[in-house]
Amino acid sequence: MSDFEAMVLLAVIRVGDDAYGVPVSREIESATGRTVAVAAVYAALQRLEGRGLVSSETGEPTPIRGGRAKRVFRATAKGVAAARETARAFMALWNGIPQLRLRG
Amino acid sequence: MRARLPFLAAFLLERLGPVDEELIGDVVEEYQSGRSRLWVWYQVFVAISLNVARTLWGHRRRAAGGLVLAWLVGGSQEYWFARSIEWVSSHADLSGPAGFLFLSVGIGFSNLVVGYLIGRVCRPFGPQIAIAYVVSVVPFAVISAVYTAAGAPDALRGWVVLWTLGQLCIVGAAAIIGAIVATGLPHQRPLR
Repeated sequence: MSDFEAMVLLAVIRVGDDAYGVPVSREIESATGRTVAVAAVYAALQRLEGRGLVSSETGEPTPIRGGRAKRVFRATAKGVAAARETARAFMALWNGIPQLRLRG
Repeated sequence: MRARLPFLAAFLLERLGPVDEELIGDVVEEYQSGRSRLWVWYQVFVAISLNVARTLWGHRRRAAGGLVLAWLVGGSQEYWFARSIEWVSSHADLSGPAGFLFLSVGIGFSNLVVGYLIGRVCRPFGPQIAIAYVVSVVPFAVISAVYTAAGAPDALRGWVVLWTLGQLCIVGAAAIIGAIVATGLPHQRPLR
């Protein structure tokens, strides 16, 4: 899983029930401080869905979206486990560099 | 609340963006919520770039065939166009605005034909392959501009660069419009 895919997966988990493109992008933007391309988020979500880490269903179209439907994503049990494993691997690497931890 | 996406952004998203309705809905929703036009253009640029890359990767044989055809047709047209320039310049002065117009129309028309052929051969991905063709032309245009600018008097070098940029814009717009015309109606509901 790439860094960006891991971020998208974590954002889906954080957003919860209404995790479609807009809130997921905003979650990543607020965490990283960088502008996120919604198309890149969808490309990552499609790859994650292909691996069974997230599932999706089509939501209702709304007028504010020009009558277009949402696609709402949810992390699967496999996805949550993959996110945990990624975090564990990062923490293990992080803990192996005490000088960086001290600098905070 | 704003009612519509900028016209050109909406047009390009409809014709060249991904089929995913939800992505376009997200862009519309964010724009309605106060995102800037610059943000919209960034989204359009990334959406089209990813869609072109995905199309090229997902339909490699057809994309390669379309690009080879475009290069063959574009190259032979370039050859005949250069010959016709020689003939016209022996009968008329091509250095003024009339010459500029003649060259622009010629380049535009020949690339319109190239784009139309790509669109017919690579349906329904013609516009995406046409973008790839335009991108593939850029390095040659840059090399040609550098070569021409190196041999030009100092005062004309800026014009050579401007002419190359203008030529690229004409090539790009004509090839993509040709492919859009050949491909037909947009693959999704209009945004406006």
